[in-house]
Amino acid sequence: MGVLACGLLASAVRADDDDLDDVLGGFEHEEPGFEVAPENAEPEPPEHELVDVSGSIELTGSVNFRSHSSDTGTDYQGLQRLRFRQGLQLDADLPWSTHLRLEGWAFYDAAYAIQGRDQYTSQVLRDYELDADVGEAWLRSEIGPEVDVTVGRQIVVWGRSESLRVLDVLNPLDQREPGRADLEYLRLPVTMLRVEGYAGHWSATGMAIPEVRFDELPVVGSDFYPDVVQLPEQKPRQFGSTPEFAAALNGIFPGWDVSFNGAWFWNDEPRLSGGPPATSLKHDRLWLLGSSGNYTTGGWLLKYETAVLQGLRFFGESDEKTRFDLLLGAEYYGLTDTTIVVEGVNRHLFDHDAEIRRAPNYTRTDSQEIALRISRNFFHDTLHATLVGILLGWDARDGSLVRFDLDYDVRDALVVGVGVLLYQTGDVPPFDAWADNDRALFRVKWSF
Amino acid sequence: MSPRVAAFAALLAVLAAAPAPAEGPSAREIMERVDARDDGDHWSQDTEMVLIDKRGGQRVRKLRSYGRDVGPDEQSILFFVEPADVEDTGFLTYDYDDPERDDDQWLYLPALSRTKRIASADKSGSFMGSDFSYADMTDRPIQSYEYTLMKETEIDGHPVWQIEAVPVTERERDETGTEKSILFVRQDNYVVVRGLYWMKKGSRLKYFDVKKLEQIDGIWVPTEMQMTTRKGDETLHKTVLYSRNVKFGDVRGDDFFSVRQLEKGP
Repeated sequence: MGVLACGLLASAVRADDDDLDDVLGGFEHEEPGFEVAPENAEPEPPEHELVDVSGSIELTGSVNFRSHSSDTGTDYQGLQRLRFRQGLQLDADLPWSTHLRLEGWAFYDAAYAIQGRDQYTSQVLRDYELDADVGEAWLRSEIGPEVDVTVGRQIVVWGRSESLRVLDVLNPLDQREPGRADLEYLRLPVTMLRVEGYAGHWSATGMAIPEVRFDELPVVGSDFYPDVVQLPEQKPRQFGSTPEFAAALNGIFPGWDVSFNGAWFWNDEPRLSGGPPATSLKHDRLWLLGSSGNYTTGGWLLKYETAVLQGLRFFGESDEKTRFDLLLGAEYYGLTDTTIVVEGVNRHLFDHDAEIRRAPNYTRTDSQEIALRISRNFFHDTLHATLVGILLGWDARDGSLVRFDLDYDVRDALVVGVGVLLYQTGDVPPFDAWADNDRALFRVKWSF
Repeated sequence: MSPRVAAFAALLAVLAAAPAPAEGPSAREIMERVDARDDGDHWSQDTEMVLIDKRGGQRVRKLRSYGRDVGPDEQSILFFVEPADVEDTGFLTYDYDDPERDDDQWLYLPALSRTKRIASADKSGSFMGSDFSYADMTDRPIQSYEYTLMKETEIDGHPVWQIEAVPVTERERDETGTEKSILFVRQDNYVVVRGLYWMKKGSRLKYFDVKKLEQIDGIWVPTEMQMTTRKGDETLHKTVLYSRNVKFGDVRGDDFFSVRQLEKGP
């Protein structure tokens, strides 16, 4: 018995050694097909180019799979978008620590020609079929070791949120197809002078924004526009009107950061003004005082954004109103290759009354938005899945939106993707008119 | 002789028959020397990663990176150069030596003109789609491992110590996604030239192999290394990493390892 035990134990130890030797033998085993291609085997180090031109060519499409029409009678079922987009960006390093960026883009949407252009309103064809614009165009210079000045069209992101807006008021958004615009094209740059000073953990930023630019909204004839009449909009001149002004103080510390923000700006959301037949849309000036912050602990990132907005006006109301927005959110990074983000905001309107709740204001005393975003990478970052859900109201009573995207890297810088975008109707505009706007999405993008 | 005594006697016999390590430093002393090895206080380099999948498809990532030691901690900033769809994306890390302290990490996304702070607890995720994880790209705290000197052997004609490393904390195990590893440390320069990692998920093994080791400004630098992921006998994925333009003494201050610089680019 003792001899048997001795033998078994010795065999077990030898077997472990053999297993380990087998495993270590993997170092000498080069499986065919895993050799580095000759063009990659002797890489040249990347050179820092003083002038760099980059860009992308993109085809995006969507197919509306539910029968529906716009209020003007256009049938929007079937192919709704087949858009070819070209973007170009030039970056140049200039003397005296100065950097120049020039960006432009253009798109043509063939869906309108395929479906018959005569089906669509002139406003839809003007805004959705063919468009081109200057994107970011700025010059940045270090005028001292701790001071940067940037002048030109640019994007400044104040918000910490992935999906909701509280502090992110400086750049308007492209909302022509709500939920459809890819994040990278969502914010529209505006011309500003921005001065940033740095001291230790703190930085201070001051901005003067002479270009007045508002959200791009759905136009009459679009399936996202809930009427047959486009009201005239009283817009301040794009240049030459009272500029917007903004300032921020940011602190970045180990494990946490904080910002304090203030702005005097034009409200992107217009309100109804006057009465028939002189009813029009008007933008008001708002004051904003706010703060935001992040805190990390383990796999969690916790965040807040808060703002007091003063100067809000409503149809039929003579007084200016004040609103208090509070956003709380959490991001979880504890799962491999996965990020989960949950955010919720409550917007509380002070001095609320019944007039504000009724048409055409449709504004509650407290309105909520909740967003969930889950993203995960698979197969060594070649497949990217993203699920975004946004509820308006805790129980989605004012509508909801769900978007799921699946992008696959066919090869370096070439991505194909499919997705689906679903809308659920709500009690108040605009979601009450969007319930049948569900669509399937696809895209191919090559970057260079 | 009772069965229990017989088994104990057998164990003694097996242990007696096993080759005892020669007199010399303990496994922990060796790993302390690995940790203390001069790897430069300030450095910069260009990196190219070739990612090879099972079908032979190859993707290339090019980076420009900078790093510095701040006491026992390390700060690094890297910028993507290729592929074009992620060009100018930046990643800033403050890697703290204290295993109880969370690293600080920020990601700059040029397409969104936005810098995001991110939490860093899970380092087992793929670094840019490669076989290297975030944990592989940062120093592993030696106090979080128990080391056992297995034997002395040779790799490419160089004497090495073969050392088993096992995480002693669940936190380290979770963060790195590694159950245990075997490391091969060259005796002449204390460079880990090979590593075998048993991954927690998917019964996978990762093979780390330094293919080219150069002395630059007196400091040993692996300039070509590969990480191969295997399951059983099957190779699942492989990454070859080349380092070029390695420079030491490229001194940059606090203002360079900052969110400000992250947004400006290299």
